[in-house]
Amino acid sequence: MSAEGGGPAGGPSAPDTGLKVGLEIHQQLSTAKLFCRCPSELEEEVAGTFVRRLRATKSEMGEVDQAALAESQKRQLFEYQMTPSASCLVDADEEPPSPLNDEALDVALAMAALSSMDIVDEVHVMRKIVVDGSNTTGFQRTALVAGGGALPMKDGSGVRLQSLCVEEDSAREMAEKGGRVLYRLDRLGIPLIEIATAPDIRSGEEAREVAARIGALLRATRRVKRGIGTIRQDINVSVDGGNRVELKGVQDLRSMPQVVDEEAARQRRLNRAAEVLRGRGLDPKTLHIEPHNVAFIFEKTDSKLVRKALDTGGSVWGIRLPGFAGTLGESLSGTPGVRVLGPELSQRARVMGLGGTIHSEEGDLGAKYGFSEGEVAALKDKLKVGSEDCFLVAAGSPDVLARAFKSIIDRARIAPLGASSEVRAVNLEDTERFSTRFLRPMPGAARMYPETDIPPIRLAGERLERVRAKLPPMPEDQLAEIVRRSGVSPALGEQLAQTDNLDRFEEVALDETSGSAPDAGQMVQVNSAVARLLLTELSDAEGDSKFDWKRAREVIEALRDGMRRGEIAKEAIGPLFVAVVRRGEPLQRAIAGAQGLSLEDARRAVRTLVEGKEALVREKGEAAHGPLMGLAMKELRGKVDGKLIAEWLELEIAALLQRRGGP
Amino acid sequence: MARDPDVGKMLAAAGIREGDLIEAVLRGRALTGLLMPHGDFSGPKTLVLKLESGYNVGITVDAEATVRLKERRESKGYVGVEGPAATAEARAQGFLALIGTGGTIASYVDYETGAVQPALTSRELATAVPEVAQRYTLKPVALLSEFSENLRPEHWVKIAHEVRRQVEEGATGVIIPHGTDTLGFTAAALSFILENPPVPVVLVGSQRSSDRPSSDASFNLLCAARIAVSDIAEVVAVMHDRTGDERCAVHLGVRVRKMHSSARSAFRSINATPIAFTDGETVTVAPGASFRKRTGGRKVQVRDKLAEPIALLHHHPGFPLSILKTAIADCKGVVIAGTGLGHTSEDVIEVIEKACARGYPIVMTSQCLYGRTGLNVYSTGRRLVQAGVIDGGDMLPETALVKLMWAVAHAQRPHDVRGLVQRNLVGEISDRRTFEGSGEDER
Repeated sequence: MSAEGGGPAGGPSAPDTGLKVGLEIHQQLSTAKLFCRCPSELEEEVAGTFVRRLRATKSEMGEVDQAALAESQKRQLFEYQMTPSASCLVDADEEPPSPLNDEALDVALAMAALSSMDIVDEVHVMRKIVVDGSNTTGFQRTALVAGGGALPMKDGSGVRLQSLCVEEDSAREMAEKGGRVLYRLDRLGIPLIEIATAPDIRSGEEAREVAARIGALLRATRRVKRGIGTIRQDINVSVDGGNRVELKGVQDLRSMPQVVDEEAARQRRLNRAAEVLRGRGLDPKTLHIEPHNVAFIFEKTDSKLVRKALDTGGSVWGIRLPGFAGTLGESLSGTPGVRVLGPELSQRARVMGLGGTIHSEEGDLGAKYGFSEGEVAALKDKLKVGSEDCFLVAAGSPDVLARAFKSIIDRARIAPLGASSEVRAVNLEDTERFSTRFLRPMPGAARMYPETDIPPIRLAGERLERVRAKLPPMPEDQLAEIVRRSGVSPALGEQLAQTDNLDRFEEVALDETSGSAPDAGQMVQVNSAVARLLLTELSDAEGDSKFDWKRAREVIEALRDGMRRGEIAKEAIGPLFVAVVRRGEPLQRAIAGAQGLSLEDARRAVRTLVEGKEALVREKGEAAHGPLMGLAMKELRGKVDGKLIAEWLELEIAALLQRRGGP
Repeated sequence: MARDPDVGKMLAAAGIREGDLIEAVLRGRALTGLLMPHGDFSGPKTLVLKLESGYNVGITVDAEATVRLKERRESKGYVGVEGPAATAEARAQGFLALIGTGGTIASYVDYETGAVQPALTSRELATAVPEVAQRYTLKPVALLSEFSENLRPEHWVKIAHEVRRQVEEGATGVIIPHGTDTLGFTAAALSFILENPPVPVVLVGSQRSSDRPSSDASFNLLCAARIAVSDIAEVVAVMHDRTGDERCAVHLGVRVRKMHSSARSAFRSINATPIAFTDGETVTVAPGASFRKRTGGRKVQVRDKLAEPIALLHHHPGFPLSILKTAIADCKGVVIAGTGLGHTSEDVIEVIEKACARGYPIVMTSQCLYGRTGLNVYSTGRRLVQAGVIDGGDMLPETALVKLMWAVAHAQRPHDVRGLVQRNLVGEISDRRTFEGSGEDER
């Protein structure tokens, strides 16, 4: 949008009156899977594979969902990896689904109640046709739980909501090779809550705030999964009353404003191109575009790209785009390097399996693709390209060319109408411009039909009352309470909340109810150190493949207790945590090592101490433990865990008593 | 639950029929959608609406609720997309008779109601299974419309006569789409009733209904059609060999059993190997497999007498004697699936002995399914032999049941039944078993 001069440069984007944004947030739940009882966990181990095909089922209405048809036209084979613990026959589509997971439905109901949504009286599970292989069944099971309502924002305002669904996650795409997509079944069936807002959002920045708020509310239920990929945002964008475009796969909220701005700019570029085309009298109803085989022009070509296709039994096809001059390339975009209609056409070809296309507004085709002047002239001649026209050619196998050119022509014919309604993916690697690419046409209602294997679920008043009675506090109230109890600063608490660490902090922080309560000042010190550990060292460790929160928590608790007893300095806990959790050093050795004292040295010191007090030991026997502990701690405090010292003392006393015959 | 009569009256008063676009106002909010049929599992006062998004939701009508007809919707009937026509090559192969028995192997979905409709005409088939309709000339015959669990022996006879008619009319092969629950019984019955069929008679089913993109129906049907034009002139069942859509196994009708309640690879040959495998293109005959070859003849002998009823009893610890006694009193024969090598408890043997003494036929099979009976190994077995049971050998209990119905009806004299049951007629019983058919890889 900044390219259009629509917002003050550098500052947060101002509301754009022509921009309409709606969000669809998908959040994985931490309950068992939705229609089987597998745990919702991802696995590295593979237990076996199988291969399937899917076909778009036609309705008796004569309608086939456009999105489903586009996918099944790709005629792909799908390979599925089963995993030992997190997939079963239901995921393999070899067993009917179990009833919908009640726990997951309760989380959805709680979320709906938090947002004052209208909850349906009977939940009907539907099948949403998806034939890209990401569901073994060929459909995603999904159910509408509530509609209407408003998202309670922190400032008391509300953002209108459209729907809240509970649905199953798709299988994980692992690789694609030779027309075969490899999926893993562990993620398939993990419950998702899908919340859709009304298209009331007016800027990318507002979209980010709303998405963050939905995330915070979902986390407040304490039943959602955490980490990368567990929450996914789809963004619906339209400008100036134009078509709606759905953007998939925004994972980082921080990029949301740029993604929205770039999409709005893309749509406006296309709308400008459409104006030019309409100005030249172009109309989808009369626009006729026909592919021609132009392979003969390239028989002796030096173009490596074309040569390779021809040598492997391929062909070259071309089309004239009448009246399209100036709309394919950069000239209308206002941004150097950003082309207008050209990328739209080549992206359509790519999803049909074609490597790419070449058009007449890409600059010097000789330098770029090795086309000779004669070849370009012959192309223009054969395709009858005039001064107001463009041409587009591509090389590949005839089957792929046929599918790809159908798709290219379909898109070109509606170019006079502006941006088209479609599903696009954000190019995650393009962190400069946040560009997107075409994925598939917008799916319609034609792809929904009832899941006959699961009876409808009646929501009795009792159940809703039970859910309402146990509603979690609002995120800001949860935060305030934790800040109050732990004594950390509100700023630190806010950071914990923003990084999704509040519940973990609550698990490990001390409060006045902790055993042998420390004094308030010390408690605040300990808790603040623990909070900073979560924000830095723990957050780094989370990227490790073997990261396990339970283990990390044990270490944090040991370090925390060491700090509380004054045995470990607060500065030491970060490095100690890294040594133990990331480098795998034993906890006690790491602690001792950090203090310049090996565990062996410490152990020797305990033995020396016991032997030095032999008389006391002989006199008091095991009861000597108490006084000796005091002496040992005096020497070793802050260097070795007191529990360990106590253990050693016990062993040394026993050994001494045995050696000397005992009292 | 049935719809509440008051709600029905309210809808009628508003002139609303199922399928219409309506607006319902409840608890101060208005919902617009298509009124869907009332299902058995919905509450009596629940209206199911299909919203514009395609989602169905159930809403409960209370005393204050109002409904209004927004738009009358008429059923458009069948408006399938025309599938591709059969190729010239397909027409040259002659036609394949497709005898419908009520399974939903070829069907399409009514997206408005969600109901699954069977494809009955060739046009509907071309829509439902274009890949098959393009390569083979299919002649659909709607013979029965039953769930397979409701099929009875008289239905087997009806199917057999239809097979005969189609073969006589020139069918290159016969395909019988069948519900999977009792597919094995029908396959066994046709094996005994149809004497030396000159063309392949192929039973086929699907474990995932054909309204799903992942259905095994179309691949199974494609493989069945491939076998129906092959030289394997046997009654066979063609189903997924493994979970993947890569190949189907061709099972001899008297050896096949459904061994899983839901998986695609549920059908297995027991005490035998599949005759062949196919991916829909090529047919790979299993090493050492023997089968009758296509003859080019058009005559089919139908030996369609079946003695009814015959009972199949599963022996178990605490088996109630009264059930066996009642079966003997009410039935023309009994098959027992005995434990292990074909055993029953002693009290059962006494009842068997009394019945067999007067020539009553009781066949012993093994509930282990894999392996044969062995009535000479333990004294229990020897006592059963002395008592007079007919040794079913390695026959499946279900196949033995069907065979006993057929044998009792076709035996010249009662004491010929024993010889008929124990003689191999169509590959149902054998005196030699190998590791390949022993199920070692299946367990």
